[in-house]
Amino acid sequence: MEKDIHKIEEEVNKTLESLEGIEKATPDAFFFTRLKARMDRERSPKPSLLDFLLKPQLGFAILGILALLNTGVFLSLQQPSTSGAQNRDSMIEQLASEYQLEVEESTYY
Amino acid sequence: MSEESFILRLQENDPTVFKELVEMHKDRVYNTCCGFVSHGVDAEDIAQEVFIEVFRSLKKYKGDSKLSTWIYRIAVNKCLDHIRKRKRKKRFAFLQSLSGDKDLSETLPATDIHPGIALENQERAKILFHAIDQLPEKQKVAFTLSKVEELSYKEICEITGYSLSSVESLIFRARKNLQKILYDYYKNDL
Repeated sequence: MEKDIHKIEEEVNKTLESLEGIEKATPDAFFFTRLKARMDRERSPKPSLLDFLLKPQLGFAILGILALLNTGVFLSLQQPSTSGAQNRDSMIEQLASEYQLEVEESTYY
Repeated sequence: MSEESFILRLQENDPTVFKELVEMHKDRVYNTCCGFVSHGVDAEDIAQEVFIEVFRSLKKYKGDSKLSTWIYRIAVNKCLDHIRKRKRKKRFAFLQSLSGDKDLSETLPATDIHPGIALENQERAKILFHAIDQLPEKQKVAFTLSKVEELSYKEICEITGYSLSSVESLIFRARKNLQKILYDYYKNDL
């Protein structure tokens, strides 16, 4: 037991002394070059939201979408709307045949 | 060139003087960082951060202490910040490993050793650095600056701002704590 304690203490002391005669660590020769590059990188301005909004590609894309929307609206206004009246007539005919009614032409004088 | 005119030129952002400053102090700053974080790549990263901080804060430097002392104070603070961050990361990784999100070994940096340690001492030094890592912050700073950096007590006082008696007491307590940590380690290991 006492022998164990002595051995442990010896190991502890040896470990504590392992830093004796430690040599100075030095960075490699390109330390300043890398530091300079990092400083330049950090100094360069980061792209802001305004920069993004002022991009010509974004402007052209928005113009393209607006042109497409305008064309769509213009074309839909050009076509006469007949489908609504046709639907109404066919519905009346369907109801009349279901209830076996005769659809008379109403004449108004 | 006197230190005053050197500082004046630095504050005027003279690039050649800044390069001179880096060349003058890079070895000691890097060595200080290696003493605290052991990992060579991390140490270089922190050393770079130190000089970036020096560059940014030069205007605030009032000359209350020597320029070298001021730089090493920044270096020590940066190293402590890095250690705190690493500990937070470890705790977070531990929680993640508990919840089964991630393996602990994936998030922890690989253990490295101070590049200045002789090959035959590396295994023991690794155990010692691990023990130093468990010391309270003030003891860790005082012990590292004294034993790894081999700074005098007076220099440690200047860098840390502690009194001479505090530094003596911190180093004494650090050694006692290290003996205890290492004793427990070897008791289980032998």
